[in-house]
Amino acid sequence: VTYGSIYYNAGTGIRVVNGQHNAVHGVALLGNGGLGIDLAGAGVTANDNDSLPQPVDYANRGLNFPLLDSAKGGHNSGKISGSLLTTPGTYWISIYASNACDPSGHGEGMYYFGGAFATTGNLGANGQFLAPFTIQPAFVDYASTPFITATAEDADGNTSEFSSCIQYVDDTVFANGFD
Amino acid sequence: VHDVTIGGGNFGDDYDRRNLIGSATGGGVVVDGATDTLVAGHDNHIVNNFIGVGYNGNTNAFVDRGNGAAGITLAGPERRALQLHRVQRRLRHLGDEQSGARQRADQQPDRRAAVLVRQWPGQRRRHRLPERAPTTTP
Repeated sequence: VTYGSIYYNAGTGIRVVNGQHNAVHGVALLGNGGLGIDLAGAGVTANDNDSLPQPVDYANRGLNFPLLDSAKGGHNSGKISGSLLTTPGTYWISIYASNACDPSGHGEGMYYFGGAFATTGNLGANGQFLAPFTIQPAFVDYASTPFITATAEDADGNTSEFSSCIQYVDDTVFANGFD
Repeated sequence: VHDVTIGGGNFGDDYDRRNLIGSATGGGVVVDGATDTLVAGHDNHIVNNFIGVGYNGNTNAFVDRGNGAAGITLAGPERRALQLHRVQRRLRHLGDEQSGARQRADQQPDRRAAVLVRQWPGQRRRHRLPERAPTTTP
């Protein structure tokens, strides 16, 4: 599922019942009754150990969602930092901004603002490794869309559910933006 | 169904092919294999559509046309189908009888969906792994 807008549906925005390689990329999701992206139709699927065997057809292999640590900066340009704990590899982290956080605390994603690759390093345990990232989208109207979320996508086209959302902190010191 | 594109081209830049899919009593788009098929849906693309959204020509604005269930439902992995296929062959070998692979109740596609992409029995590809397009990173 690529680009486009999925708004206001009574259920989830995108529901992956089962199967893998279901990529969700650059799609705007807002105001849906359920989650923006729901893997296995079970609501928010808590992060677990991605290296452990999954049911053979588990939705997008239950890829963990990123954890966002901070989102702060100037009026329209700031840095989003976080990490992804999963199996070794390189992952695309997508950043979204919304005017509200989903009641579940995860997602949705009103606007897609690109992203960046994150590669797992040596820090990890039990088959999982940490892929830290810091992403600075080109321009975001953080005043009207201050809630930031993210998804992860692996090289096989499996996309995670939305991360929990965090609120952007405008740490501009001067009113004219000279910070 | 496989290798189907709903919407605007590979990169979302074919705007004339986008769709407005809204106000369905069930889901907006359901992509799955048919209930009795052995090879389920794969390698389909839903690109740059407006799902749950309508357009008011008088005000030139997008409006809420939410569908009654999920905007998009994806189901039907080929690997599960192949597993069932192997089971079926083995049962045949043992002289047993198996009418066909059945989906679990919670995997049944919503038949009220606005766009229902199904693979008809005549299009089944048995005894063969579905071909997969090369994976690309964004």
